[in-house]
Amino acid sequence: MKRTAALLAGLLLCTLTAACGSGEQPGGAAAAVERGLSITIPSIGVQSSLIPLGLNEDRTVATPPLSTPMQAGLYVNGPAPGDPGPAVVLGHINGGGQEGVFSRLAQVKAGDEVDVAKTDGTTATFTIREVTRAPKDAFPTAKVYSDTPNPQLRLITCGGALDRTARSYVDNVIVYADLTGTRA
Amino acid sequence: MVISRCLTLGEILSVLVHRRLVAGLGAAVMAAGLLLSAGSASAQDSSDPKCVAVATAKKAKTTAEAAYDDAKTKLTNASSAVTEAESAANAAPNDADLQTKLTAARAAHNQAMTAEAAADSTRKGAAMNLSQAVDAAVKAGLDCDGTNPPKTPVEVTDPPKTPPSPAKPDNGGGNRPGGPGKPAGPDLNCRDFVSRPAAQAVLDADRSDPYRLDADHDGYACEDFFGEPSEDPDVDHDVTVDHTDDDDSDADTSGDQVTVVPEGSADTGSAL
Repeated sequence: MKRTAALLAGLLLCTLTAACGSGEQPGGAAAAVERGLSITIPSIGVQSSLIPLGLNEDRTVATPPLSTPMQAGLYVNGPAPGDPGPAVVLGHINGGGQEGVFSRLAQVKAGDEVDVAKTDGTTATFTIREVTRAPKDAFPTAKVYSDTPNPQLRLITCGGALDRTARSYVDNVIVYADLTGTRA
Repeated sequence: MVISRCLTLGEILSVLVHRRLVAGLGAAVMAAGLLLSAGSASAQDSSDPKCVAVATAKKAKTTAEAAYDDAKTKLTNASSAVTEAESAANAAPNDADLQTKLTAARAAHNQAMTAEAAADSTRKGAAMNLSQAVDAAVKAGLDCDGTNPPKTPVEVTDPPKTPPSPAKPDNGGGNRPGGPGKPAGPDLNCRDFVSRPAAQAVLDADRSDPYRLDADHDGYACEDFFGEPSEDPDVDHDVTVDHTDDDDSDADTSGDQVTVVPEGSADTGSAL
């Protein structure tokens, strides 16, 4: 009995440790998204919570489920939004025959603001610097994922012509933004 | 004199024997001590919270993968059902019953798609948790699997085995599950690690490579998956940035703010 109790206590302790341990993820995005984040882009009426996104089996970046196209997500192997580095937020242009959360992303302009809020109410405000479109077969990996001296944000969705054979779009729309303010 | 000499000889012999015994006993005690200490170290490792976290995460990942395989099979079946219902309905466009069946099949397919997506998210989350747990244990220098001899008497890290999930797709890591020397418990694949050094630490802990992390037997773990190890040991033993190499993108990335750089573009739209 004692042994069982000890084992149970150990298991419980470990479960707790595992929950806390995820905060040690390098980069910080995983911990931040676990505590709860949401994104708002007032100029195009975007409002979504952020779910964690990792990698697919082919090492491409995961995207939110197509069944919930209005859901945006944060790439977890990077910095938390507001920390130095490129935090990457991904959303669908459409999915499951419905409009996606980033269906109007290509319409944002330099100077538009993007807010990322934590559950405690702290909000990081990013200002859009650049809106680009890149063919998927020449994705600017270095520009998107390389270190940055300041906290930055990337917003990624699909765009360009629709390749009906592949049932996907040929381009990615990528928006670059810089942190310009935080408020409690 | 003779007796005394004999006694002396006997004494000498007895002392010698005694010494040998003592030495032997000492060695045995020392060996036992070593065994005990090694055993207790391993037992400590496997009962360490970080190790139990690894075991828990492994179990969760196995369950999640089985659930995903199940959802995927159901989705495939639902997909075939829609195709069949479509061809039947197309062959007899005025048959209301077939149209109803088609609608039902499509609804079931939608449900299966949602279930598959949810199972996929859970599976990815479980893999992420395992990767973090393994990394934390490796960083803490723990030998969670007790793979270093001597074996621990109590294998706390090995939960009751669940039946292996159906054939998994290629893990992209060069290692294959089910080798002859595979330890009990769920398999570890290259993709279960956050970095190549983390995988290397597991390989270094057991050079017999029970998880087949070093498929080409060159002493380096998972380099097919994470890229070639760095020449600079200081760089290689930190958390490294995994550079993309085959995505036709214009350049490597620099820096380590993003710890794992994805391949290629993002599939963020669908015409489905």
